[in-house]
Amino acid sequence: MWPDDYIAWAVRARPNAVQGIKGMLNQHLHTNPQWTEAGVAVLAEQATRHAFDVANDHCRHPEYCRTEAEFKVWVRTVALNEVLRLLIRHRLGEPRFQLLSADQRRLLGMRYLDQLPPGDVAGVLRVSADEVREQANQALDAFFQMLGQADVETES
Amino acid sequence: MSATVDYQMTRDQRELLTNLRISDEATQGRPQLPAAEVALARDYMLLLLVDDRAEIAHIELLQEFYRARFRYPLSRRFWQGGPRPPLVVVAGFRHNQLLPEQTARAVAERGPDVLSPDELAVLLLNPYALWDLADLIDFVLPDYWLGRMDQVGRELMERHGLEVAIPGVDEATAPERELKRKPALMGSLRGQAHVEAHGAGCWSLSFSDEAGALARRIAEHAYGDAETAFTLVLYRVPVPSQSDLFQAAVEVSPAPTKNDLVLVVTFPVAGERTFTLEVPPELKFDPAAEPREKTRSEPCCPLPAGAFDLKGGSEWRDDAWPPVLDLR
Repeated sequence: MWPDDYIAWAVRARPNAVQGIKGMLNQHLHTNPQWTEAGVAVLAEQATRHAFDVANDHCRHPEYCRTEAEFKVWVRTVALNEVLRLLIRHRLGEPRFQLLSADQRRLLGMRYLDQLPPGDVAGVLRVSADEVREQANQALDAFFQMLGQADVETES
Repeated sequence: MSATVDYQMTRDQRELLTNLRISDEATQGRPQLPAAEVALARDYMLLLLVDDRAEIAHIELLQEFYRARFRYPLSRRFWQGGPRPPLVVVAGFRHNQLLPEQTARAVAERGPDVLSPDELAVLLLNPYALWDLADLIDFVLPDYWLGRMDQVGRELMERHGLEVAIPGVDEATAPERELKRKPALMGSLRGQAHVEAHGAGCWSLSFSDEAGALARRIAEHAYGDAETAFTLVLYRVPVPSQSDLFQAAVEVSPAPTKNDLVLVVTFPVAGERTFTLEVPPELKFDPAAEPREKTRSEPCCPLPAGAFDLKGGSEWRDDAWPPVLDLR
């Protein structure tokens, strides 16, 4: 039970979490030679480490995660949000992020830089939460497509 | 081979796929898997569905076979709970439909043994169904696949020397772990700062291993890369004609390249001062400009001499942003 099992759960979740995040990124980035597999792996490492930092902080809250399976999904979700934040801020990511439309940047910025849930973004933008989800996913898809393309303008 | 993924299919795997492609052409879409190759195909499927490098190499070969370009869809992690975005199928791939939901679930729960040889053969030539199945497994994390997924993850970490420290395990001793779990003591260990005097009026400010997350966050913010190494130095600056007062300034090396870094320092007996370490103006106007080796903040409002009487035990404050250094 949390937090007593935190360490054992984290040790077991670690390889799977890093691989899952790296795998998801790699699918979208591997076509761009500006990214290396090692570079993508380091992003996944940073994001997973962030998830464990947050998890460690939650050790003060008994029963924060009730099962190991729940913890694994939680780690992956927190790490995924973090890696998108890192990606948008990355030297190869930010120039492409700037190529999105202003609406797309607002949506992705609020979702992944500010890490607001769709309901909160909906409140700011005065649209429904479903519209936020749908449009944010379209924007994310467009962002991934751009990330997968080499762009000489981003390299000085 | 992919632009960034250094991975080679084995000769057997390539031959398996090539033969299936030939069979696919000869039978106009009903590829046959010879009985002698079923075991190889099932083993290969076990790898393909959990290892992104194998999957990418496999799909690249399918792209060559069918002279088409596969566009990776958005993972279900992003849309689960809402409607599935329409699948964009490009012309060229003969096999391009997702598996029936029930079949996909069965493979996710019980592995490729649930597929007949014919189903296996078609699946190996279908990038859409393969990708979707791998994504489903990655999303559900079924017990059947966890061991293999962990193994691939361990190999990845080893290949790239990744560590992924787990706070409480890799960054603290067992007694410290126990202390950290007690809420009243949370934060007393996590953010210890190393403040080291270097001559009169100069101190280096660094981070204990346990404050490594904060150091990475600062680097990510200031340089856009959490792995950038940087140093912080605190200077005591005399105030002209006021021998009992001093100002303080903070210097960072290298100078920020991404965002201004704001640092709050609380001094003994004197309270809080804020220091801003700016991205040099030439970089703000031209990101391609040469980064500066270091930059220093403006001196703060005057402080009494006692503000620099540091006895040890300084801490980076927990969960504070901008970063707060409590000098002691």
